[in-house]
Amino acid sequence: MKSNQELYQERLNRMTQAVTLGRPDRVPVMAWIDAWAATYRKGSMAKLSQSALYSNKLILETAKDFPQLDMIEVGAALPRAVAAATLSTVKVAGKELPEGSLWQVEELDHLQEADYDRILKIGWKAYKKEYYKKVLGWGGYDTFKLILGGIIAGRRCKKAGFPELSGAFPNIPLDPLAGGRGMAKFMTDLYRMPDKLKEVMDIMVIDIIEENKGIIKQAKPFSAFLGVARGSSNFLSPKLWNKFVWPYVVQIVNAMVESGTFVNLHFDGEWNRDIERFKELPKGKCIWASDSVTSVYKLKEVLGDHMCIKGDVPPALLALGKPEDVYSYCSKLIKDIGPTGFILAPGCTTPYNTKVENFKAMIAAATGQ
Amino acid sequence: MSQNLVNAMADLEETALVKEVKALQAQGTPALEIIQKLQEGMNIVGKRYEEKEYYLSELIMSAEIFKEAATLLGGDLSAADSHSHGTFVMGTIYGDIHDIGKNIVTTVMSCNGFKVIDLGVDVATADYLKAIQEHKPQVVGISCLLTTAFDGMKECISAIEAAGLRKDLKILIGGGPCDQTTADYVGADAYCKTAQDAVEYSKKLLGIQ
Ligand code: B12
Repeated sequence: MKSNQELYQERLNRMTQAVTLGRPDRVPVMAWIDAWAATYRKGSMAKLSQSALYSNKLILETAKDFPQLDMIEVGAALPRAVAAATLSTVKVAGKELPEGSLWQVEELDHLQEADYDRILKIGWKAYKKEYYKKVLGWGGYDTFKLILGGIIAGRRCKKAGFPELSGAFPNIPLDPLAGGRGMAKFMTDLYRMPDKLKEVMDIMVIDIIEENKGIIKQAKPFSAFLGVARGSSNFLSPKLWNKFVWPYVVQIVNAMVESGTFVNLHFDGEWNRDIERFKELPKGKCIWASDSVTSVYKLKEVLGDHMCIKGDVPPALLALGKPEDVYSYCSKLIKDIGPTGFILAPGCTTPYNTKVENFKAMIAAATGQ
Repeated sequence: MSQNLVNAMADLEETALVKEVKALQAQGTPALEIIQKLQEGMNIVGKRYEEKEYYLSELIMSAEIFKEAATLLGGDLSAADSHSHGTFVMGTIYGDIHDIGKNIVTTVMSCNGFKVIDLGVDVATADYLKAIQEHKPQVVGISCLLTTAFDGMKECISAIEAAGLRKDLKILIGGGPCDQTTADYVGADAYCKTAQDAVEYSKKLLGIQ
């Protein structure tokens, strides 16, 4: 029997081989488990959505039942922190929603035009603090509690032998601005005041990089998670994308890599138009995580020698498909996208109605058991 | 020249469009005629979107400009109500908050001359029933981006049927993870991949060219 520490190292090595485009002993398989842990463990969605440590307990209990998993994305489910990062508010079970419900991110326009000036004046870090207090009713202590929850969860994962994929969470400026302002208003701002928005983003990215460099230095995560929800190629025309998305992806990725971590490009939605551009990012340092909408074959063809690909088992297949179909989808991925530079995983998070047999079938395809 | 208006709409030239609308108004052009020109421009926007010359950013911007022009014409899109092809009730199913796609569908439908009742996101079955009774739509649209909410759509559609409201209307579904299998599973009349599909389906249903 291997100890948890030995298992931890073995898993970490396998993942490192995949990311650095080396040759792992087998294609690694991993998952982002959040709401599904409540379904699988028959736990409370209300508690999971509100307590980092309770969610960590359910996530680890779930992971232990699937010891072939090489990593988990994050050790805790933190819907409030995730929403806050994009200046959104979120309704959760046990508060605004009945027990058992999945959390719901609200699309509101908390951020007004005048806020752009405010950011320019006081900087992003100070503005965010103000915003949290005013809109979310959060003080420094609440933020501290969340961060602490995340840190403890991380330690418990390590003790249990499961590395976490990501431990720092930078955003490109577009996501919090669009989240806080509401999609429609934000898009029209891009047209009506492009220069001001550019100025605001240039200010924001300085603080985003500084804050995350600090976190990386402290926590030394395997990777920094850079999630872009509203900046995909089908959301923005090339003109807007080249100005408001790509320059910040490049700056943040380079800064994170310089700080000594990999970057987990969590890019849901459709990015086909711009895949070529990712060659501009440092080789062997990034993970391109696809939710199955971007063509994984095109990713392999264009970026196969340049960065590791992660995904892309479709959520609908995990939730509604048959185990045979999951197994054959995953086996085909391993054959066509692997065996190097590939990590098998659900596209995005594991849907909370994933069938257990389907999750098993995904793992079996990687381990051959 | 109202061709200017069509072009301004199609090219998303906000300033030129506002100027043009005001000029036409000053000349006494009927609001309905102006709206029709704007719709013509919107059709071009739709085409450019299908041809990948435009993206979501342009669709959303076009919707905003269209709304702005409609406001100038003294009211919202319902200016065209008396002339509408039919009524379309739409929402995002309960449990789900994704509304970017839904908003595009409602905009494209109203730009194509349908009266649209937008129920918002996280819409309960009871609210669909109420809206159907009140507005007597020919078409109901349900948007859903979460596989976890498929059963909600199924329940909602059964309830519409059980309430005896299914006879005179068609139910369309759409949104990222949906496909024909989903439509069969939840008992919808059709699955639409894009907003344009909803327009074509509805026009065909109502015998409109
Ligand atoms: C943007 C986005 C968000 C935004 C939503 C902003 C908003 N106000 O809508 C934010 C960040 C808030 C968000 C939140 C969440 N999201 Co989200 N999100 C997305 C994303 C990246 C894009 C969706 C989108 O807007 N697409 C663009 C629009 C235009 O496309 P569309 O909606 O499909 O609409 C078009 C057509 O489908 C059609 N259409 C749509 N509806 C209808 C209806 C009818 C009747 C007709 C005719 C046509 C039609 O017309 C539109 C135009 O052509 C998708 C990724 C993806 N692959 O889709 C995930 C995705 C939908 N999200 C997902 C998840 C899981 C969530 C969260 C639960 C995340 C989490 N783990 O915290 C939360 C909360 C959701 C909840 N409870 O509802 C998953 C769903 C997986 C699943 N289980 O099914 C996806 C697929 C990502 C993934 N692969 O995991 N999300």
